[in-house]
Amino acid sequence: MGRDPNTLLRNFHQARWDEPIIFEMSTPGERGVIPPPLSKEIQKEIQDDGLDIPESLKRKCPPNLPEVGQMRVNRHYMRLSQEVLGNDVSIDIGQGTCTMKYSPKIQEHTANSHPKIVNVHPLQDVSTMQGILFIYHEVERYLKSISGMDHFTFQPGGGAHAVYANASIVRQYFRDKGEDRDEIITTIFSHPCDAGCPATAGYKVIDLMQDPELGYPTLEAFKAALSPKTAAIFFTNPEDTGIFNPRIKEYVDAAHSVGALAVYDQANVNGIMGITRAKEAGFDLIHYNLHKTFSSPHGGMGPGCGALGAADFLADYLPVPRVVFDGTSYSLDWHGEKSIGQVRSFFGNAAVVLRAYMWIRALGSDGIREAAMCAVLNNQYMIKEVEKIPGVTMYYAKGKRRIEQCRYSWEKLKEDTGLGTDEVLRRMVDYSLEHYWQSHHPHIVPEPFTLEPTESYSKEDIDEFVAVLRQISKECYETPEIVRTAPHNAPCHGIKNYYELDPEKVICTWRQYIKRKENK
Amino acid sequence: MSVDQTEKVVYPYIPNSAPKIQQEMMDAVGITDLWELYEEVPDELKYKEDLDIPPAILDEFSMKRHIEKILAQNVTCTDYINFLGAGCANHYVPAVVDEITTRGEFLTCYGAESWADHGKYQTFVEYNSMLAELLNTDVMSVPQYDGGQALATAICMANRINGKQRVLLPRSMNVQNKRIVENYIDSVQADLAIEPVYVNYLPDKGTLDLADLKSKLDDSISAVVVESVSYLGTIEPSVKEIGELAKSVGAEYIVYTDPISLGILEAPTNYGATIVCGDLHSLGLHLSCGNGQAGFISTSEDAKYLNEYKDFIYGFCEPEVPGEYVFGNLLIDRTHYSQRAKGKEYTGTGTNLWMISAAVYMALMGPKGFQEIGQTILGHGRYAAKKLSTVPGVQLQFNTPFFKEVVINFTDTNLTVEKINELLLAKGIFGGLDLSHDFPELGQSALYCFTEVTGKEEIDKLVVALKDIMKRG
Amino acid sequence: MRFKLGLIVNPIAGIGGSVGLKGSDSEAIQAQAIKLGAKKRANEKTKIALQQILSIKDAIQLYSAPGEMGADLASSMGFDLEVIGHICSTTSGQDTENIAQLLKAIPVDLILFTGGDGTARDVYNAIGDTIPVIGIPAGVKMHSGVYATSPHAAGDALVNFVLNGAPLREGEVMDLDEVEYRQGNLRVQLYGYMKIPYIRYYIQNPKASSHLNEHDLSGICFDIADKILKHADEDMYYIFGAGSTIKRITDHLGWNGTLLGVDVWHRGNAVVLDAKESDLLEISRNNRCKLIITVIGGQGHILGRGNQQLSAAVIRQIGLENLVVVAAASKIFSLPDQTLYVDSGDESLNEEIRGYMKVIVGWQETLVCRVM
Repeated sequence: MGRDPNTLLRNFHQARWDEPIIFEMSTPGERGVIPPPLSKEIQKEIQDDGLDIPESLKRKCPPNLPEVGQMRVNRHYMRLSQEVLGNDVSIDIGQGTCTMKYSPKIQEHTANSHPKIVNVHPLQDVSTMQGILFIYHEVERYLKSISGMDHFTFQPGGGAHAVYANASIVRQYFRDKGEDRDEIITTIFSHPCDAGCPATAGYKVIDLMQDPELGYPTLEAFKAALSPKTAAIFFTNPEDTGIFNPRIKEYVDAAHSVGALAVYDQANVNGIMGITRAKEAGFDLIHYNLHKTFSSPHGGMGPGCGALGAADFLADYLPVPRVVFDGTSYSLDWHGEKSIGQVRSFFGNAAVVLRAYMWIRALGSDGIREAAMCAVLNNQYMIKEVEKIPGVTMYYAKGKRRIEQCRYSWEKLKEDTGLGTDEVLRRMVDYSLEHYWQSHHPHIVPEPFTLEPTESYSKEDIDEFVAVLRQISKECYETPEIVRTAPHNAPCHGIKNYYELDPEKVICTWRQYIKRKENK
Repeated sequence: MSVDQTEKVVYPYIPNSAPKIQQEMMDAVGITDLWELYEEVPDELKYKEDLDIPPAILDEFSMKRHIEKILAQNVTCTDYINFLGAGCANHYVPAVVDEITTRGEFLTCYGAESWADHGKYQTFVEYNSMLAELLNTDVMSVPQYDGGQALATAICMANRINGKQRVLLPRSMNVQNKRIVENYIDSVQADLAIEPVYVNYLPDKGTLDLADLKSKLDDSISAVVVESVSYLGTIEPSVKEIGELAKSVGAEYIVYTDPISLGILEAPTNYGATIVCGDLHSLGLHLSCGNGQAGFISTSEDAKYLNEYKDFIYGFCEPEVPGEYVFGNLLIDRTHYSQRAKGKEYTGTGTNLWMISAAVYMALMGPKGFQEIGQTILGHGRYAAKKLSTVPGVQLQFNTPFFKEVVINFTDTNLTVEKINELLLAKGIFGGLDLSHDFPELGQSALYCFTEVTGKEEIDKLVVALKDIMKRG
Repeated sequence: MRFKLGLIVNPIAGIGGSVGLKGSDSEAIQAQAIKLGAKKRANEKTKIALQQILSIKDAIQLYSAPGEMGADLASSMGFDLEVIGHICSTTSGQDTENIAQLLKAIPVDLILFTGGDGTARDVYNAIGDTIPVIGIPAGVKMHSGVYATSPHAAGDALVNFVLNGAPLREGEVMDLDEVEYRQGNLRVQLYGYMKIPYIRYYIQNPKASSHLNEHDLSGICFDIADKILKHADEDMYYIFGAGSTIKRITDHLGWNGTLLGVDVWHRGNAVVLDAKESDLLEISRNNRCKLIITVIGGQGHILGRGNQQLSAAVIRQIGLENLVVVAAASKIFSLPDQTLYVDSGDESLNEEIRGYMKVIVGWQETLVCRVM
């Protein structure tokens, strides 16, 4: 029997293997793999060279690693992989702000297995890396066109990493100009890294509260925060609520008028690629997440790439090495007197840039725009459906069209039933959906959940996701116990201290686990 | 390829680009033109021109042929013999590691809680557990972007622990890590910056100059950083003494280590390291043009350290059903929200997938595998050192035990390393990394890397090639 | 060992509100309310909360006030309970206080009480901050920060606390003068603090965890300490408003200030503790001053609630540019519409303050808030 065609619900149970910890599988003497041995001949050659490790520095006790045969190692991790609901097996519309989309397999097969990328060393002579350097240069060109920015670097390994690199560039720029500015301004619905990263670079942070009707800060609030001490603004737009600030250019202009730079966190660009650009809004620095918008898989949180775009006057401050093209061949320029230096070794996550190249080429100009529009169409369609679910409310911007995602609230459900976003979340896995993202901190929207149905999802996927939410809402009102005691069909049951806050109770390794057990 | 202009393109990755369903959805949201979705975007910000992207390659076979043609312009370390390392050494990756790492479930998962992604969390916790055995530590967070970031954060952790703002670093440290660290510990506010102070190395040995270290060590030092093995390959003999010196002034002792050496080299905590960090690359990650890097930081379970990690910490939790293993996200309210501002740090998407590779690698290798691979790497380097010394004008820069990397001096050949590498390249060999710019005091020197995959055959070819080059001048 | 739970229901809590009376604190008002047809709702609300607890009732030893102050309801629901103390036929605040004292003597692990600010004050008078409480919201006046978000949530929070424990945090005990209030004057007084368990989502102020709140508070302390100590200004007088956030700062500075009063410090020495308006007028007339205040109460007032000594005249003399507002971000996020209010008693001063204001929410971190 397949999924019920009327309710769109399925009778689901995730794999539950009850796997032991790898240490418990250890059978002394078993081998998983044998490394290349040192030949007798070499051993003989080197015996008197005086270059052996001094006795005092040799390891006395071998590491207490498990000893497990190869088949068992493989089977163990295969089983563990089956106990994971990645985007490949689950409809991951729930992970709002993360732009979960399909990562085409042709890309994966190339990036993970093709020897012409997998076996290339990043310090090889550039003449032997023309293929990957061409790809870097091309992706830079495409992103320049999508954003209107003048330069890109792919060194940062994630979105926050790029925001941090941008903060470093802002710092270097003003130091170079001899201007003493030590404040940055961000909004409360921007990603927390827009405050955290500049703070790491030494900036004082000013957050702007949203206007209760608009959902974003008023221009007046923003102007109250601006001063000659403002080094830069770090804004997300559309914000994590999916609301686009239509007056964004006025904010950027106001920042420029006090001599500050404007930094655009475009992790949320998926719905506006080919629709509106950072350049026209006046921004000086931006970043895109190639592992979100441009299709690289998330890998359980990385490796990713924060593609960092800059206006021309900031080019000298970008990290080294830069990929350059002299008209005939590509090379790496490691010089940069004014550069911030490096934020990542070598030239970043090349396999992620390769995937972005393939994805953009598979779509072309029209396809990129189609992707953005379908993502927004999906979202607006989904909003109409989710709004009808008992217990759901929406905050802010009433009657306005949202862009690529939407933050909803189970506040009413919580008032009516005592069950809120935590409980609904735990029940989702019983219907095959891995989870939804509630909200970044702070939870200003009460009992929040954030959905982002990217262009990868079909109408039917969306309908199924909505059907599950509707069903759980119904259960909260009618049979709350089943929700309260969820999950039922997952690889494990409830967890008492999922967010353990006491350092004394932290057990993050097997050796600690054993020690605590013995002490009990 | 050409696309029929009259027919709407249906993209395989965009199901709702199919006209009928798209129309249905447009009706549902009340629009007649897709641009109406963007009412909130003012017209003057709308961009309707074509993007500077070549025409779409719609069919998958053409895409495959296209990308393979481009990649064919790369030469690989299997096409040529490679002696480049510098933090990204050429190690063999067992097939099971790739089998597991490329599983779609692992590749495409992200932030689900541990009941839905149970297997991911178990793998992460097994990674923690095995790496802790290798390092002889108790706890760690998820990995950082690379070893340089791990070192930078380790320095910030030390600063948060003791409030001091100067750090002793080896002058010979990994040059890329140095750039990363210098940028990271800088601050807009001068009184928040951590100042790097560099300790010289002995010109003949390549190991740390203890007299110089002692002269720079005082109560103002927050941490002493040692690389073991060092960037230049040397095994630091005074690691124990340096640890005692650091302790004597209340400084943290940070050791940057290469995990693959730890089957044969002593675990840093056993000679006094309080914070151990490094790059995971040697544990089952591919070269991939530098894609296979990830940083780790690990310490004892003392709350003093535990509270200072900047990234997520995963571990064992208490199950509601007795006997089940369950996992959680621990101590989430750590430093970047706190006032300990001198070390405010952020967190974000890092390199979690590489924990899976490293976990499988460590599980496969076991204690014996690490011992054996250590011996092989050590032996190959020593064999190479011996053979290279027979090339006229070529010598070992330092007469010190080394592991995996070694500095070879070519000054007496009267050829630059740049020239030699060019000639080697023509013979299908990637010569060692040219150090003449970053370490001019070493003359015409190069950093050669020898691993388990560069055995007698490869080394002999290198020696023959070099002899040939020297002969021709 | 079973969890020892104390229960006190103020049966007439909220009775005034339903018929448009502002509060229910005096017997006359209560009588008037009943005459006007008001219904006693407190036991209904308590029942909603207790229903959530039924599932774990075997783990609980209940100590309840008699009759309609708890025992009637609880025993009808099947709780195993011990009745504590005596009450009169018409219950009063004194009954609440007496029973709370008996519960403290046992001592119970937590007191669940139903009522509003008057009831909270009565409980507070008996137990101070010795025993944690959870308030089931049922009153007319709800300025205090000791209530769960709803009766339902109170029950859920208690179940969570019994099963899993939770860190404790301080909740304000606030009340306004009902006589003044009925004449249209809002005079809210801060009476002290009780301990409430922090449980995500269930207790007021649910937007950030108590650990983050703790980080915020310690950040605020460091930030103010930096401002005062790093750039030592020998002439400056520092006026600290009322409240636990401010007390945290003065403690951090090693200055022993009052919790509920307004204190004045100069060069690290107390000039006046618990200053009156006249003291403040005097000091601010002749000296440069900085005034450090926090957001008071659950409704976001920065002036005009709990700190009436800081009159409009005082504020004018100090100067708005010397006004420093601090608050844990979590406190602001939990305000309705995240908006601050000013009610200095002087409309033209209120008008000057309205608009947008930077509030210090952590070390080197400020939040721009709307002030109404």
